[in-house]
Amino acid sequence: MKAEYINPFLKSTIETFATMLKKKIVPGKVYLRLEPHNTDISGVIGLSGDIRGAVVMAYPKETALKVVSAFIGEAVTEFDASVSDAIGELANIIIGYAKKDLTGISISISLPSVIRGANHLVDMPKNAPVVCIPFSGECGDFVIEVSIIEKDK
Amino acid sequence: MKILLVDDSSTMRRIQANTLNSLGYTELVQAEDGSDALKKLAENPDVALVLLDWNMPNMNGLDCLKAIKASPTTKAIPVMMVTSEAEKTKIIEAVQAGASNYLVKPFDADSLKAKITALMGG
Repeated sequence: MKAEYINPFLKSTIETFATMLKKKIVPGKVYLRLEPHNTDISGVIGLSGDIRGAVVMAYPKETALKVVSAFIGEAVTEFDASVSDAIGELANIIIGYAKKDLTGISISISLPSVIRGANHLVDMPKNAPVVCIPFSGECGDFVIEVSIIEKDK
Repeated sequence: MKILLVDDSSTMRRIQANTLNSLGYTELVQAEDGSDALKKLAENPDVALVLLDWNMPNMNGLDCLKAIKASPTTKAIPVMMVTSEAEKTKIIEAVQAGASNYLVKPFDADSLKAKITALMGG
């Protein structure tokens, strides 16, 4: 997968956290996913157009609660449907904002889907590599998984 | 002054409502998609401003904007798009359809405040 497909998501995540959550986050070393992560809540956005694939923002419960609290500006302690809505909207904003830096290709993004449940796995298409971008910060750790296939392949 | 917030995300409506409340705008009506927005506008003829998301199920924001501007009873209401659609072509499309202002997500509270204050002359 081309680096130019990954960098916009990395940049958009950092900028969105700085602008809307007022939180600094630091990316770790990008790696290829060999096994699915166990995670507690995932915001999933599908990509279509000149490329196809999906982006998953995967959080442990404790990180998700801190992220959502910062996002809406209120303390959130219940891991409920309102957290799912916030995680979906945050994914929508981040992936939507990344689109402007994916220059030269036409991309449509799906409305967000959210999976909430302890230790779930999100499988990706088998024929596409899944690139993971880990982040850490004062809200805790989380991972963005990007799986993209160019249309002519 | 009554403001209609249109976004399929209850989180985004909550963020906007918190910001508007802090500005002193407490008369808020909420809608979860474009068709719900048109229904709420019919029920609330005193709405003075619409904050409108773009990507929503049922009826998207652009179609809703066009419907608002096509109706003699609602066409004078200023509409500000608040959306993650950041491409210039989208902004032009919205302005040509009658949007009074455009705010790209992600935004901070100060940007939302400044745009609303400019629109409402406050």
